[in-house]
Parts: sequence; C-alpha cells; structure tokens
Amino acid sequence: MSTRVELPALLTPGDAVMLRNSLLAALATSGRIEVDASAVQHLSVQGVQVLLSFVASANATAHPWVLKAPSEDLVAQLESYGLFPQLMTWPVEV
Amino acid sequence: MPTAHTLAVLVVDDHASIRGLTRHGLSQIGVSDVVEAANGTEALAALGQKRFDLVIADWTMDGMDGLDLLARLRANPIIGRTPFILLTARNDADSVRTAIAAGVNNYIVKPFDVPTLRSKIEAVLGPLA
Amino acid sequence: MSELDRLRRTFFDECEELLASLQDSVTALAAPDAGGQHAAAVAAAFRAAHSIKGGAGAFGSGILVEVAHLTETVLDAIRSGRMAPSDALVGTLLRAGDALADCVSADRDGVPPPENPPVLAELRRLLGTPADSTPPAAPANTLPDFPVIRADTAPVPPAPPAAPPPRVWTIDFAPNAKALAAGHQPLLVLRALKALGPLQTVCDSSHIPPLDALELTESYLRWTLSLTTDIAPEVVAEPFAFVAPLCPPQITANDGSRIGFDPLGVGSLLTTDSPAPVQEVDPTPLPEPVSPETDPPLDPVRPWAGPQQAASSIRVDVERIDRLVNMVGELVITQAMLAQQAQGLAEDRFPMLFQGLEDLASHTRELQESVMAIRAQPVKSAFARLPRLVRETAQALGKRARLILIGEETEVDKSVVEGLSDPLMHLIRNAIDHGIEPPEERRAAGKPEDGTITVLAEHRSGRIVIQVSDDGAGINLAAIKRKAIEQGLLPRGADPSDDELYELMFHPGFSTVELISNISGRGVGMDVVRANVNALGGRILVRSYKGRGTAFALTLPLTLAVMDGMLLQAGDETYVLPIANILESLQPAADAIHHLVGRGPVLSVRGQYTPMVDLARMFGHRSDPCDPTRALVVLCEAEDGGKVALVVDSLIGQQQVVIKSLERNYGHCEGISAATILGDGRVALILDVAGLRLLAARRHRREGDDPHG
Repeated sequence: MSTRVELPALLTPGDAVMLRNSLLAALATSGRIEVDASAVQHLSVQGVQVLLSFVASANATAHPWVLKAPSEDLVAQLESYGLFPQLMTWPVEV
Repeated sequence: MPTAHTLAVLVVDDHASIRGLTRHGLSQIGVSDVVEAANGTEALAALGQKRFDLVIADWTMDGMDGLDLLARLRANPIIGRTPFILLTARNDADSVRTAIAAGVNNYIVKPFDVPTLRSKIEAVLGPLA
Repeated sequence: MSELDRLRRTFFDECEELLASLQDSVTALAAPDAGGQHAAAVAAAFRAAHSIKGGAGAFGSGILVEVAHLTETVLDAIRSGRMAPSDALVGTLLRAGDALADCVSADRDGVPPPENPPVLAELRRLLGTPADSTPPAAPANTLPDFPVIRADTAPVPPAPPAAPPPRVWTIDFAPNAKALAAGHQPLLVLRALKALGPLQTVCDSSHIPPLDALELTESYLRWTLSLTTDIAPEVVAEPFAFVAPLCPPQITANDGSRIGFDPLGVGSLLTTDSPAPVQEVDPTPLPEPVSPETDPPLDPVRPWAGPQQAASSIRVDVERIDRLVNMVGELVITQAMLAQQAQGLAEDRFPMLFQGLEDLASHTRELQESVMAIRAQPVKSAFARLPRLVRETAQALGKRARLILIGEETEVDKSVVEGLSDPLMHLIRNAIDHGIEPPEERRAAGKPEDGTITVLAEHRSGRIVIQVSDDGAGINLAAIKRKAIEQGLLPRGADPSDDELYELMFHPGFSTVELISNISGRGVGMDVVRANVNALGGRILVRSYKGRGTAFALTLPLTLAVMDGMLLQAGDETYVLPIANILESLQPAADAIHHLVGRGPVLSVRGQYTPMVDLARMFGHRSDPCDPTRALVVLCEAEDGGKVALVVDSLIGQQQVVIKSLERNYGHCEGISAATILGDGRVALILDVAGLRLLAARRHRREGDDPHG
C-alpha cells in the first residue's frame, strides 16, 4: 500500500504549509510514499525547504519513498537553487 | 535558440590531448563551461553534480566505454535525455550504425575541426546564438 | 607556449605511453596463449593504435595516421578472429610499432616522417587492400542522418584579441527569516545572476531540520556562488539590491575587489573596484529588533570547492621536478650548514633554536623523500624492450632462449630507470651470445634446449639490485687469462684471483676473439657497460659457474641526488662514507691486527679476517702509518659482500649529503664515487667501498710484503 502526495503546480510559500502537513501525514503511515512532481511549474524557497526536510526525515527513518515523474520545471529550478547534486541522489521514477 | 556561453558541456576522453583539443574547439564556438572527465566513472560522477546540456564522449576507453556510459546516462530518469555526441576515430559504416542504434544524438569522427564541431552541436541543440 | 602547442606536447607524451603499451601487448602475443591473455593483449594493442590514430589527425602527419589506421585494422581483424596471430604477423605488428614510433618522433621534432615505410606494404598485403588505398570512410549516402565528415585539419581561426580576463566573483548569500517574510525569493536573485555569466551554484542544505521540526518562516539554506563575468561590479551587485539591506551578501572577486552595501540607503550600493584601498562600509544590517533565536544558524563560510573536475594524476614536465630536486638538494646543504653553525652554541640557552633546527632537519628529510617519490618509477619501462630483444637475438644466433622478468614493479628514480636500459640490453645480448649454448650443445650437456635468462630487480639495503643471469656455459676464466696475457694486461706467469679475472673483462683494452660477434660485439664492450653503471653511481659484479651459468648484478642507488653519509676525518681531509656500507666502528686491540704477506694488514673480527685500509695513507695525505689501536676502524661492507676495514682518525657525524658527480667533470677515480659540499662549504669526497678494496688489494700486491700496506 502506498501513499501518494501530489505537488501543486505553483508551490508558493502558502502552499508549503499544506504540503508539509500532507507529507507529515504520509510519513506517519508505513507504506511507500509517492511524491508526484509531474505538475510542478514553480518552486518557492519555502516549498524547497519542505521538500528537503521531507527527504531528510524519510532518509533518517529509512521510510521508502519515490519522486514520481519530476517535471522539467522542477528539475530546472532545483538546478537553479544549486540542489541538482541532491536531486541526483533521490529515488526517481518516470 | 541556445546561447553558446550558457551551455554546460561534459567532455569525456581518456586522453588529455583530445579533451584539451575538444575544450579548445568549444571555446572557439563560445562554450566556456566545460567539464572534463577522463573515463566513464569520472563522467558519471560529474553528471551527478551538475546538469549538462551536452555530453561529448570518446567511444574507446578502458573500463566503461562511451556506449556503456551512454546506456547508464539514458537509464537515468532525470538526465536520461541529455544530448550525447560520440567522438571517435572509428569511421566505418558498421561502427556508425552501432552508435546510432545505441542512441547517440550525433557522431564526430576524429580528427575534427571547429566548423565540424559546431555543425554537429547545432544539429543536436539547434542553431547557436 | 600556446594552448595548442601544449596540447600537441601532451599528445606526444601520450604517444610514448601508447607505443610502449602497443609493444608490450604485441610482444605478449608471441608467447603461448595460456589463460586467454591473447584476447586482452589484442584489445589493449587495438586501443593503443586507435588512440594514436585519434590524435594523429590533429597533431601528426598523414603517414602516422595511415600506419596507425592499418595497424588498428589488422588488430581488429585479429580481435574478431579473421586473422590468427602467427609469428610472422607478430613480427609485422612489431615493425608497425617501430614505424609508428619513427613517425611520432619525426612529427614531434617537426621533421618529415619516413615516406612510405616498408611496413605499410606489409600491412596492406595482410589486409588485401590496394597500395594506394586510404582509410575507408563510411559512405555518406548510407547514413542520411549522420553524415560522416572526415574533417581536414584546418588551422583553427585566430582567437579575437584578448579582452581583459573576466573576474571570478565569489558570493556568499544566506537569506534570513526577515528576507523571506518580506517576500524575497532567492530563485529570482539566482536567475538574475545566471544571466550575467557562467554561474556555479552550491547550496548548503545541511541545516534543514526534520519535517516535524521545520519552521516554515525560517530560512535554512545558504548559497556559495561563483560568477565569472567581466561585467561592472555595480551590475553584479544589482540582483541583491532589495534583499541586501536585510541580509547583505559577501561579494569578493579573485582580484581582491569587494562589493560592500550601504546599510542606510536601501538599494544604494557602495562599491570599491580596486584591490588596494578597501573602502568597504560595515555590512551590518539595519539595527532591528530581531530576537537572536530566530536568526538562522550560520556556520563559517566554506571556501568554494571549485569546479567538479576529478583528476587522479597530472602530467608534469620533468624539468620542473628536476628544478625541485635541485632546490631540495640546496636546502639539504643549507640545513646542514645551519646545524653545523649551531654546534658551538649551548643547547640549554637556545632551546627554541635547537628545536627549530631539529624540525627543519626532519621537514627537509620529508620534503626530500616526497620529491624523490615523485620521480620514482617502476623499472618495468626499462624491461619493456627485453622480451623482443631476447627473441630477435636468439633467432639471429640460432639459439633458443626464454626470458623471465622478476620484480618489474620495483621502484627507483626515473633517471636510474632511464640509464638502465642500455646496460641491460647489452648484458642480455651478451648472455645469449656468449652464455647460452646452441641447442645441440645444451642437449648434449643434459640441459633443456631453451636457455633461460632471468632479469630480477629488487630493493636491497637502500639500493636497487638488478641481476641478469643465464643458465649457459659460464665464463671461461682460462680463456680470459690467456687473452689478457697475450694482450699484455697481465704479466706472464701471473696468478690472478677469479675476481681479478672477472675484473679484466671490464678493461677497455680487453677483448677476445671469442667475445666478439656481430651481436654483442657492436663496438660496445663491457667497459662501456661498466662506465654506464658507474655513471649512475652503481657497480657491476660478476659471478659465474662453469657449465651452470653466469650472473651479472648491477647495484644502483635509488636516487642520484642525495644519500645518508657518515663524515670521517682522515689526516686533514674529510670523507663521506655511505651509511649503507657501514657495519660497525671499533678500536681494535693490537692482537686483532695481523700482517699477511701480499695482503697487507688484516683485522680479525670474530674470527673473520678483513683487509685494512689506512685512508689517509692510501690517498697520500700522510706518509706515516696510523696506529689503528689509537685511531678508529670502520668496518664496511661493499655491495658485493666484500668487507674492508677503514682506518680513520675520527668519525665526525652522520649527515645527508647531496651527491655531485665527479665523473662528469673528471672521469672515474678509483675508490671515490662522487663528491659533496659540506655545511661549511668545503668539498668532501664520497668513498666507494668496493673500489677501495680493489685498490688496496692491488697496492699490497705491488708493494709485496710491506708490513704496513
């Protein structure tokens, strides 16, 4: 059984709050977490921090997760943030 | 239209002279963001650190050869579609067919000159500004 | 040197390695294919030829490209099983390798390469291609998507006149909670910077807490940016105009320029462009009621790690290393000089000085060892040509020989490796020519028809020993003696020892008809071999057993630059004795000294008799014999195991000395291997123990039964 969390198209500072709650809830389950990143067009720094924090938590507890179908915008913006090396270590599925 | 000076290119060849020559050719075209790797393993490490707009790799290398590197690159969900140009001294038709079947975006035969390098890159990325 | 010249040089350096690899691999094909190493050898040879071809088009001549191409094609045919590696084929490939080497050196030196080397025809014949064929290019029409262009090596258009080099700006940017609360988005800043030039963005995300501890209003990220641009500093600062008053970035350039931000006028900038007077305004943000705990944790700025370019090795001009070696040599002398100057001082009064000198000594030694390690090389490269030499020489002489190489990885200074090549080749030729018997003779003697030549390299007490041995007939000492008497090198009726007869083989005037043939007698005698070895600070020794074989052992220093020495006083002179030769020093009792007729005085140590040499007398500094029971005796062992007891006045102390060759300026002096410069600037001679022993033996014989020697 897996939990699916969809990233919004515009991950604004306001949306970051909701995203954090969804991801916290997902971490409370035991199944695999699928973070669907196919729709992302814009990443605020607050959204980035939530994502990075989620990855840190999942890694710390060895919780299985995967980044699903990252959009080109997500990849390009993480690269602009200087987070490409981190992205390359995440589990990704197309 | 891609701008040459914003392009990041990874050059993979086990000979420093060929890497240097390629870097030199790229600089003549206006590409200055060039990272060199001396073998497939170094190339993969570089690809994990930075996003490249283009990979130019030698075919014949010890250990992981150019086509092995291409297969590893293509298997990656994030950077799998990075354009890949094979740089090789093999100029027989069979070799070219093998390379195309493996999924290279273009093929440069050594030795090459700067106009050739430019035209091959433009064939892959579109006209350079 | 232009960039292209440098690349050209790199290419030819690479060619040397590739040619060696090609030859190794092809040579391996001549051996039986046990364990399938043929496949690996063919693959390696193919790669080498292929790589030479790859660069040859840009840096070399057409003929080099063509020979490389045909060689590669033949190797490809072997690889795919279309050709079998016969002896003839291996021979052709070796000749192709030679032709490649000739072309490479011609191209490197800018002279015309050999036109149409004969091996081209051989290769073409093997491939069944017409003589005028050019490397086949793929027909373009079969490959519509990828037109293959065999590019001409058109000269690269000259670069536009050089603009002032762009600055590399390093920007440390750490937004705080205030900046985020004010709606600033770092992405906009980062994108704006990227538009100014190549930008390297490194994000430190290590301070991100787990999700349940994450404060959404907090800022945890920090960026280190590297921007290469020739744009004016004000423009570089512009993206930060609005965020700077809240969290000013640190911006510095590689030329020392800095950009400071005026904390009062929001958005206004104060830049200083020159490295000299830094008029930077204190970049503290506006005083604001910010509680300290909301400030993001800041760690010290990490230096930017530089572009990701993994490099496991670099290529350095040998000249540069030699310069370093020389400088370290001078440093060793300076250090010795300082140590000597300090000797007269009271150690308890200058403890810091003495501590410093001690540290200097140990650092100098470490530095020197590190520099020497850079030059260290496996002897393998000196061995590389031997298998082929053995095969060809044996073939030419109708003999059968196999070669065993041991210790190829033994490391020694590059110059020693280079100097080894010639003597080794001569000794090998010699071994096949004079050592190994013809097959029928070997069969008759109950030996296997294949003779065995063993070349061994190993480290032994701070030196390298290279031994070339064969299982042939051994040296005919009677023939040497006969010839030496005929040539007047020995008086009729002389009774030389075996050692002295071996020694005669190295005499410049010595040759026997038996020792001259078309192979080893190419005008290079054993005297030249010895001179070569001596020039390397080495020594050559012979042992031979009748019917069982001969061994030549070369012992060489690991480096030609520095060694550990013991300073000795003999008369008014100071000598240096290599520490490696010293067994012990003692003050002998009178009854330990004996006088033997024709051998001079000998010292009895634990039942063994060792010839004694009075150093000052031997070199003529003093005519009266020194009383060994009052002086000091240093018991030494030469590289050949021979011992000698040196009588000296005193030991001065141990010191590293820089070796300065005498041979280059004066020629060979028996008993002396080189000279050095002492801490006080005086020159001291470095003793050669084995040479001293021979010198003493000869002198005693000449002086007959002079009891003092």
